[in-house]
Amino acid sequence: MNLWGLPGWLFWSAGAFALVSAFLLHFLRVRSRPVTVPTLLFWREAVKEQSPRVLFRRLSRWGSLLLVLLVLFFLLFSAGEPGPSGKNAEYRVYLLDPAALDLPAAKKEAASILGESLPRGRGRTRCALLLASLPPRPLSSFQDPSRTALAALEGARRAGAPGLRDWEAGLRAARALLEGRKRASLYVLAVDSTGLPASRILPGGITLHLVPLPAPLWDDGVQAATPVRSPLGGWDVLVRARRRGRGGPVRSLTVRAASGAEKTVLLDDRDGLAEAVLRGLSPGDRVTARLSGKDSYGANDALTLEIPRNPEIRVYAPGAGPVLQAALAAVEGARITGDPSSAQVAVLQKPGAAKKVSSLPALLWGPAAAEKPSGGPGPWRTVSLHPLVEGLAFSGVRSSALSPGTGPLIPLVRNQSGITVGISPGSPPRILAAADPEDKPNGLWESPDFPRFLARALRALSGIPFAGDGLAAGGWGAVRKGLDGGGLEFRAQGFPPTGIPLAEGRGEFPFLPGGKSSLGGLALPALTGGGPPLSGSLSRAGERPGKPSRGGPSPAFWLGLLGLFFLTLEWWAFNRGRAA
Amino acid sequence: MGRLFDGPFLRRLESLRYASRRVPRGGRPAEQTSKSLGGGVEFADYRAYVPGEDMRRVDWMVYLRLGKLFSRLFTEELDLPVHVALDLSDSVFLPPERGRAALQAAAAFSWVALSGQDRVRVHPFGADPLPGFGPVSGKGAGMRLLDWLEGLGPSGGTGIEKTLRRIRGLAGRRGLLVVVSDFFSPSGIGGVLEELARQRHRLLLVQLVHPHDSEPPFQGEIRVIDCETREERDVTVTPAVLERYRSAWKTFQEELRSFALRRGAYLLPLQVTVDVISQVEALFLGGRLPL
Repeated sequence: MNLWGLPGWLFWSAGAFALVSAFLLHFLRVRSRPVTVPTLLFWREAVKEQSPRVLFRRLSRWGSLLLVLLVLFFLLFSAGEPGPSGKNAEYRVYLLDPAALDLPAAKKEAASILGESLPRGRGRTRCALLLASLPPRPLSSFQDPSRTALAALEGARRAGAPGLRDWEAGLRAARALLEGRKRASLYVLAVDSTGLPASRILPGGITLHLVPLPAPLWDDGVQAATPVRSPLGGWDVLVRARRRGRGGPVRSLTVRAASGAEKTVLLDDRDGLAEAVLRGLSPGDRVTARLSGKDSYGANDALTLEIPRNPEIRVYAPGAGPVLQAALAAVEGARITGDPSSAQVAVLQKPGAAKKVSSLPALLWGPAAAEKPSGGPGPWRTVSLHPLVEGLAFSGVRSSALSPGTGPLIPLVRNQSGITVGISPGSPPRILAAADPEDKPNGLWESPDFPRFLARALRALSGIPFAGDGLAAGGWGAVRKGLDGGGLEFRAQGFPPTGIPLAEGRGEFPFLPGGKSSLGGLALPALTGGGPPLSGSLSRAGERPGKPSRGGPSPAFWLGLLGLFFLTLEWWAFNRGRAA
Repeated sequence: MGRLFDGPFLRRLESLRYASRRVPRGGRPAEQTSKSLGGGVEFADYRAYVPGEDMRRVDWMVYLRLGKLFSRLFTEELDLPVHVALDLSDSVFLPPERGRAALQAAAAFSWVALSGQDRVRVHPFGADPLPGFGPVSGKGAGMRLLDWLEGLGPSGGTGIEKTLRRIRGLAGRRGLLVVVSDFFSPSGIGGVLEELARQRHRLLLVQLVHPHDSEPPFQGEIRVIDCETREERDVTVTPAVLERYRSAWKTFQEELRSFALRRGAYLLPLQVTVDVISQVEALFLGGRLPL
């Protein structure tokens, strides 16, 4: 395929025709026309001074032909992409945010990125384009030489509504496409990157490149907090919608559970938040929230989440005293087993206490954990967070995030009770918990926070979420091109059903010069991976008006123009010779 | 008679004559005034009678008056030997109009001579001298000459010097040498002029000129091929090259003209694309070409 979207055979035939034409034209022009004359007497005199330049003339003729052919070759190879390449081929999957199809600016940017990226890897790169919807939709594949990713993007909207964004599904499909490829890379073209893994190296050594697309600066959106246990039984879910600006089509937030519960909140015609809480939901219940009407960025106007079921966690806890055993028994769904081979999680006082549990994810507790046992994790780092963060922070730890090779995801907690907790990224993962050195040796489980901590730790280790992860649909802040320098300030804020802010973070993301964009929010590691939803605001304090980025013609265009010029020159010279 | 020479063509030549002041002695009686006094019709002088002379020339009226015998002398009218060197090289027939004009010119100058009872001998040549025609005299030979000319065509290279040398070597009286040629000798005009200078005849040079000779209609990349030698030369025709070509042509013309002036020869640059007879007529002022 090629930049012009022509089928390969047609493109190369046209290229060959152009080359042959240039060649023939040149020789038709250069070939001297034989003319019979009565005598050479006068011609000898006339070309006497020309003779020394014959060599130069011949060289210049060949030079001009070479130049024309060179330009045409350049043109061909800059615009064309050879078909299947050899074993050194790079396989590249572009995972596209479905929201980009609804946003002209984002779509244009995606088209530009695809258009710019493809020619660079021509001859060695095979590309596929996936839409990160549920289910993921392939727009072009490696085996589809008749369509470029760019052309596929152009035709994507015609294939139907893009659907809601689902990064997980998209990433799974991309990994399936890239699995087993030697040189594989994944480019995620994201309007909103919430929900993407923090790590840029995916299992299988696939490199993830995040390419931010322009998102609306201010946009209506809906968010949901993590479902929490209700004191009245069941689970509560808080859904918030934020309205930006006046007017616009969005009027109400409707939250509906599959079990039948439903709430509708009218949004005032002004900036602000609207909240709706569904209470007493059962595990497995599916909650859908939707903003009425449609704005320019519809991807964050709806969300779906499921109240997680709590499956049984089999815990192997050799040497656990009665207090610890009681605490384990109090954890919902936890069952103590004496057989380590069937256990999912181990609770140990010493890291190497039993060789037979060395392959199990384990919670290490007591003084041994504080002393960084040999063979254990690296140095600890502590951060201070509000006590309530603890639970939510752990709830966001997915099993995949703790699997080997996923990178340093180490949230550490030192709560007000003096418990120091860290998660080691080793294999198997370890949660290390130690009492403050000044505490009594058994101070850990005497802490009032201990039962909750224990439950969160077990869930995290077993890979089973404590509660459903909040589906953060849409960041409200975004990045704009055209700010040359300056910075984007992000405020991240999580919110529990109680309305008390759980976490706050600030980040600054300097823009790259030259109008390239960057996306904030992802750089807040403690809040990624399904953590609390984010909101953001764009600080324009540091904004410096810069030159707007101008999309000039591509080098291929100029080369084409040059080739055309030479062809015209050849044609003109040829015709001039013929007319004479 | 073919298309080359038709009735009107010949009729227009009827009134033209070569007018020689004194033709050498020894010719046949004709219309040209000779140096010798003898049996002509135009009275020239008296001379004392010498015994043995023809008694019919004695002027008896003078005898009656003076009592002495005097013979009347008359200017003898003889023929003019006219040699026509006709170039039949390939270059003369390129383009064909030039060849046609060459044959017409040769015919014209020969016909004028025959009309004046002069003796005509045509020397055609290509790379070497070719079998010629004549010498003939009288109008009766004129038609045969024209028929013979009709049958001529291109005959290879240009051997003008050889032919002129051969004409120079011919015995006979001094007369008129008409050279009908383009003068494109491969060795250049110098050799031709040297040979012409050695001729004892009066010279009439008929240069066959085509407009393309002075203004070649070419541009761009061409390969010029000499039609006689087949020699080739690659040329990029540019305005500068054309300018040099014109300059070379002008020099060639100038050499020929200055030679004619020095030698007292007639030079007729015959434009081959224009009517031949009218150009020939223009040369014969008052129908006479003084020699």
